[in-house]
Amino acid sequence: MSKILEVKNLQFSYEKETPVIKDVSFDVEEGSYVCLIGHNGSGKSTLAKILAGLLSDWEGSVKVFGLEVNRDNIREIRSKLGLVFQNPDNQFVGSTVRDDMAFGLENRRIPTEEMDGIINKYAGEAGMIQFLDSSPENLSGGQKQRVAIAGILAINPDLIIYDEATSMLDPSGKKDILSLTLKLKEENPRLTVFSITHDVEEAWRADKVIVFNHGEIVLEGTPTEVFSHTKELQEIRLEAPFIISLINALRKQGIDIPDSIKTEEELEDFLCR
Amino acid sequence: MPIVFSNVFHCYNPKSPYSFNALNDINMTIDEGKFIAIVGRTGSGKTTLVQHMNALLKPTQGKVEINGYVNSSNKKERTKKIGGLRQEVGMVFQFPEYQLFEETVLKDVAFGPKNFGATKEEAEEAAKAAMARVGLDESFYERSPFQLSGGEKRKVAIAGILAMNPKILVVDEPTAGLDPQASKDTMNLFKEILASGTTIILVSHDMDIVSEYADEVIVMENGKVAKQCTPEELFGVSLSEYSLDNPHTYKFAEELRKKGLNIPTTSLKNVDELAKAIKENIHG
Repeated sequence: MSKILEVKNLQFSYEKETPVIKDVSFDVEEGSYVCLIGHNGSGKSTLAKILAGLLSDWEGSVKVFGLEVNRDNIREIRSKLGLVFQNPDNQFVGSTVRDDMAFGLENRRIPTEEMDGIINKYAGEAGMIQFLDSSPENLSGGQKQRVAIAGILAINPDLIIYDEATSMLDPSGKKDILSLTLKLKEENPRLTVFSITHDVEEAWRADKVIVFNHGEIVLEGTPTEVFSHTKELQEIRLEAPFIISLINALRKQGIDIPDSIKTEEELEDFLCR
Repeated sequence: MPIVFSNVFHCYNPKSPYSFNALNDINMTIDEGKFIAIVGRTGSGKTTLVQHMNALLKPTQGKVEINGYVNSSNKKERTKKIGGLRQEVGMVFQFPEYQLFEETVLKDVAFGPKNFGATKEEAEEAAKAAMARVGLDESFYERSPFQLSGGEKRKVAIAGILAMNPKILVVDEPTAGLDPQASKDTMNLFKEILASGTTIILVSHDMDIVSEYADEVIVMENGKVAKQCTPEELFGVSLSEYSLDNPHTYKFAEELRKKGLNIPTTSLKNVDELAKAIKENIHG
């Protein structure tokens, strides 16, 4: 399997002497869903900006699609990479969903006669087809983020990076975007998603979780591995997903829960056996 | 003094093709000293409702009485200097950190009391006390609010409202965008403010937070109060009719019930209460 992201010994600081990212190395495999979690101010968003080539002057090596992120390669990298940012109101440029999606296509010089077909296809995939003529103020935060995702799908990306794409959304908006992401991954197994988030419920559904604290990787592994480190996570003030918290609470009550239980459904069946 | 809504209607853009009834005949009493949550889907009238509590909006019909002030559609009935109400009912809007503007944190927090006529010294004293309440120490006084982290900025914004010493504090989605720990810290801060006698009115979509913190829940639907009850009464039933989700703990208990383990619909504020309820019923 090929590596979509390769970060080696990355260091970065905005001001000298206070490094925001200290010697970070990790890989992301093609087709995987990787969540990077950490609290506000841990250096997560800085990392996203570096991956997208929005910052310069770092030390170490950062490769996306096997290409070193630099001035020569950035155009090629960006043509296959989609970014979804935190604030849904900051990324809407068109006066309707259709115009917004057309803007991205115009930038890529897609002929007008092909646009309608493309817009319908990807608005459909993102579940926004019935909103094509709606204006942004009539959409919820979750719907606006769906539009952003639809716009990205239209460029047929190999990698989508979420930079806290759901942190301004209410719980139903969060769930909405998570289920869309899982659906897209299922339909296109080659699609890689790298999500910077503080939603532990999202991280629980990922293939791999990287935990960031003060610009360093402190834990890395499958969700089950990472979230079994209850103590370490508490020390850096991160919560466990609901299922883990509940299992811990049940064990505290003296109910013996086997380690093999990974999902809420398995836990329900175990308790009702 | 409680807050009393009597036959309150609010219509946006009246007498135009865009006229929209955001509140439809609201009648309710909110007791003081409680932690009240207002829930309901987007567009159900939650924000319009709370904006009547400090006279940012006035009713198109009916009246709201708050701490001796009357916010009425009827000019004769309406309290003349209703601006004073804004000091008694503090309102923290969504993403309040976007409203910070002063050069230093202390100046920003002191702006409110100064605006309501306090001297510079009085305002700074109130600001320092408010900052202490939210857990910002002296080292923050001279810092720029724009160089703080998201969670710290939000604390500054909340301190700015507390500096006016409100009797009622209205907070709209106060944990949106915060990481889980910062959310918990913020909610615990409101609990402390409640303990000092301030009524807390929380507008939120997050049912896990509502179930853990609120004494009473008001469900808004289509501009009406669909329900006013305790969290236990509300979350024991299916909420889909209001297109709301039950808190995670209640949903899990519901699944167990379906599979034959009878968990009573008592208080399930958090995983510890849920685990206890499971323990009691698994062996009994």
